[in-house]
Amino acid sequence: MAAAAAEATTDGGGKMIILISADGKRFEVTEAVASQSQLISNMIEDDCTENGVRLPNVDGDILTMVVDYCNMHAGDAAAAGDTMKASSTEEELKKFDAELVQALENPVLFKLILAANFLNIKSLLDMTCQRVADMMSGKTPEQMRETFSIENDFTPEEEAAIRQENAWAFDD
Amino acid sequence: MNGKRKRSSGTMETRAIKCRTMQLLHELQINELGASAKIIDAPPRRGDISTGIMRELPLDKLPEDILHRVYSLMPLKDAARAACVSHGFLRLAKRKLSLYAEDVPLYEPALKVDDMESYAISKIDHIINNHSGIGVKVFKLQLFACPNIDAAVLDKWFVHVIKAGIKELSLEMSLCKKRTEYNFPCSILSSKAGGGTIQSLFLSSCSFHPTVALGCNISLTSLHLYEVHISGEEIGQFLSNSFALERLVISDCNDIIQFKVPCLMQQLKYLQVTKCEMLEVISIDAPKLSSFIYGDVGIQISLGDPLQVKDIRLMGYNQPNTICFARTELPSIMPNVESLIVSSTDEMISTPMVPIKFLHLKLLEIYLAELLAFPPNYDFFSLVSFLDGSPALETFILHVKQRCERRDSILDGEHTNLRQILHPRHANLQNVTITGFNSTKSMIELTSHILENAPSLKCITLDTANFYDKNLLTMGECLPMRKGGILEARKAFDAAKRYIAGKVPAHVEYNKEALIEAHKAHEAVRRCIEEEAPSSVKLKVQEPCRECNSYY
Repeated sequence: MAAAAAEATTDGGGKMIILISADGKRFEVTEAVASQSQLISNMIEDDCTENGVRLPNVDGDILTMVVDYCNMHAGDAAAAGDTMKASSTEEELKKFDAELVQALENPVLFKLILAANFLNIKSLLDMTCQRVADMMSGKTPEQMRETFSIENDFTPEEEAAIRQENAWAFDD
Repeated sequence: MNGKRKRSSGTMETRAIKCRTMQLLHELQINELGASAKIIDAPPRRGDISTGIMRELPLDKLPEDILHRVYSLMPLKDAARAACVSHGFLRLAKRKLSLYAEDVPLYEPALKVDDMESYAISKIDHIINNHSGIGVKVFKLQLFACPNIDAAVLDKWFVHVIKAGIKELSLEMSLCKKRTEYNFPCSILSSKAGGGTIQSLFLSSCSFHPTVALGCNISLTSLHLYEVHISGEEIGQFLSNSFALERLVISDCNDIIQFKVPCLMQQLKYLQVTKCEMLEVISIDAPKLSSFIYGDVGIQISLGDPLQVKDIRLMGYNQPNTICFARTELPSIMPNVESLIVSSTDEMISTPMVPIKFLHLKLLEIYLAELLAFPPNYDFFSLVSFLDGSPALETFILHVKQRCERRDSILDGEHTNLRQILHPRHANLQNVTITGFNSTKSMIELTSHILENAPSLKCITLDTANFYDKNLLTMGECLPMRKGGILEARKAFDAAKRYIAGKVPAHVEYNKEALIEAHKAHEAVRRCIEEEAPSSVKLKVQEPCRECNSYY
């Protein structure tokens, strides 16, 4: 059945492939959509997507987001020639991306980063990493620790010395 | 037609996806997983939500390359504050806060040579402007492509970058002929200018004229001057204000005639003074000095307490017979040396037997070349003088630079008896390596002598290839040897077979067949004849490798 699904094609002509998450959820996507992942793109080239692509370290809920992201962004490459559509889509995409990352809580965000890293989707990785960088912006070290549940492993002396060294970064 | 329909449906789909994602996010946050339309075959595991478990994952447990990516997207100020968060973040920040102008791709193939310099300068200028006033810790500037850079530009860069907190400063100017030589602005090293925190300073191919007014360099621990115009008085003055200095390298500084440091260098451990052509005197009082590297035997040396010095490298660049000097003079200058490396570019006289000894010498490494001797006829057997004079010696390494076929080969002449010396045995000698092993009678005599007089010997390696050429390439293959060299190597291999194989102590099994085979086969691959069991001695004889043979 999986093989049959994998062979199926949409009316648009794109070949479909099946992605299988760690918890066994199955996602049917076109090759064009899946190819935004360099990992899967390589697998398609090597012809090893026939029986579905197992992604043992990506959970179903994360993969749902990844697939949605890819579906949204698959358009930009295909529709590059059509300026009307490209511009409206671009705006929509930006909004979609912004809402996507801003709504995420840290653990989900990190899982999404890991998935983007594993699947090698550069735009998603950049976007999610940028979100982390933005979240650190303007915070004090204490706030950063709090935000990202990082343990302070400095001794008080060490911390004092390092703060001294980086004193210029605190003067606002 | 079809395309149009697809496009419109695409826009609708976009909205649908967006709605679903937002809903999914909402559901995730209230800890309930909503089904997504695209899941075609979801098993019934609704309770299994990873969100709850995921809460535990702290940011710093993400893979390091991801964290580097995050860091690369952060403004410097945030990065510096993040450095105060934890050790892991400090490590990440260090990489970002270092300014390496050498990272700039200075060589754009499309550029003409004339344009290269201005291109490089504008690139560096851009980087420096981006980093000004943000506490740069490491500043390394390599200006090989910019021989004609304007001094005012450099001065401006230093003022921008050098602020209190900088740890390492390195300036390497072009070695090409310059229009004018850059005079390093010493004033930036003062505490007032912010350079007072510099720990490591490296200057190359410029002028350096520190003044008395500069004050103390309390932080400076490492100073390296290469091809720098500085006088003996200036360096002496500068050093007497650098109490913390641990490592000093002065190389190719030809204005220095007398290198005298007027005060005690309490912390100095490593001192290298090489290739300073005009240098006559080294006078420095450094009680902790343990490593001393210097270049010429004619220099008058005073080290305060030379008993401390354990590690000496004597690199003879300009004068001949450095090895002879090391044997006859060094034991009285630095009697406690434990490790001695001597390099001679032109050894013309044999090493004499002298009564004075290196009582503590454990490692002796000799680099021997006969640059001007033609034909080369050094008496290798005379090196026994070192073995005799070093009763504690454990490791003896000899590198002979072999360029041509030797005339004094043991294989060519009439067979005469090998010289032997009756002396106390070399009781502690365990490891012997000879590279550039040749077929001269004196080399065979030296090797035989070692085999017969070193009861503790564990391993002897005779390599017919040149160490010098081998080490030029790191790939494991050598530079091609010249024809003379390869012929000599073959002869040396023969000589080892004929004269040395039999000398290996009786309890050592020696595989002659392998040796003959290797030779006959003319297989150019380096062969290694190695005998371990049951003996306590290993003998390795090495042929030149394929690359060495390729000229032949």
